[in-house]
Amino acid sequence: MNIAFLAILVIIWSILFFYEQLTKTTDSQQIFLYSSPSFWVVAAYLIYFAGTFFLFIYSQNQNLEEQVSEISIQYSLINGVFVLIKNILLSVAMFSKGDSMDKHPGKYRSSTF
Amino acid sequence: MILLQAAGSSNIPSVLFFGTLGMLALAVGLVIFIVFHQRRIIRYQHQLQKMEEDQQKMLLEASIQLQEEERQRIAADLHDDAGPLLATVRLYLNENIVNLDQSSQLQAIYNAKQIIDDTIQLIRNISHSLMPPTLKNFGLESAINDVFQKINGSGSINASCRFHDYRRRLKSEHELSVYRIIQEMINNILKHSNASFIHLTQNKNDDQFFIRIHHDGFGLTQTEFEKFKNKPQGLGLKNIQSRVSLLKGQLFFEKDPSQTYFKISLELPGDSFQ
Repeated sequence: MNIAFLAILVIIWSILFFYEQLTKTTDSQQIFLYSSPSFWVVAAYLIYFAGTFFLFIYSQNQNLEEQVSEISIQYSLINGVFVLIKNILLSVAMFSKGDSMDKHPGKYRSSTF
Repeated sequence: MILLQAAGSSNIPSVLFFGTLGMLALAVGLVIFIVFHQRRIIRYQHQLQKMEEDQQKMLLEASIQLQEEERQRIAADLHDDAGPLLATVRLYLNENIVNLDQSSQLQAIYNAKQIIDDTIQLIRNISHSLMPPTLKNFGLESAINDVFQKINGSGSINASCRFHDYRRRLKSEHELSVYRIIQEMINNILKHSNASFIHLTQNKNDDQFFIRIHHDGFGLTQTEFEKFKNKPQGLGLKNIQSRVSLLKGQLFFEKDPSQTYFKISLELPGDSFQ
């Protein structure tokens, strides 16, 4: 599958996720978004795919035989940076405590700002 | 930083560089916006909740204060009226024991009887003002009719009431609340509005109970009601509001389109019926 297409899909899905989260908070459920791991996971993939989107398009359109080494260096450099950011955000997601409300009801409800 | 260095050191096309930066900025901006927006929503909800709580508290305080005032009034009635009367009776009877002259004894007993009659009347009035007996025995319709007849009797204002469909009575505690609400509203109309007529109609449809009061004086509109209700002074409207919310009913103040009279409607849900 075309990776740029995939990137667009992921970005759209992440935006939809955020939109849904925003509309959900207007109900009685009042948890801060950033206390839930899913927020960090989605943010990680959103930033990764948004960042590498142009890179993917660019690398697809390049004539690879001409400047293989330079392209691959640039590619791996930019990609590496975003993979790093993505992994940091994913690890934040792992270390943030779960949003399982049934286990600790009310624990993550905001009482103070 | 690394990106900048990469752009500087090697010849990354500016489209790729700025495209990547732009997308990154958009994504990060989106995430930050979402977080802050959500915080704002939550804060707003908290404020709303707090405001509601405050209002509840105010209503509660008003009802407690009203109760205290009522107690003080009863205490004053009993202490100032019934107390001296009974003390006087005691004096007359005491005189009976001391004075053995039969005619003066009779006179004293007669006086004592008069005073006891007065006291009985007084206590009856007090208890009636606490809980109208017609309401308990004959229902809201008769009690309201009584009130309106009394108002009509004064001659200065034309008061009429009509119950269209009151075959099923409300629960007795609801009847009492509705009676108090109407009493307070009539009281307000008489005191403040300078009206020349008051007309009350009762109706029922689809298991809902309606009371509508029309008057042609200077009345309240809904916005004014909300405003006065939230003011710290003045118990009457707060009390009406707390009773209405206790009944899970709704209260509307309107001015008629023709601008000639004001309308107050009270709606109660169907489960208020017996």
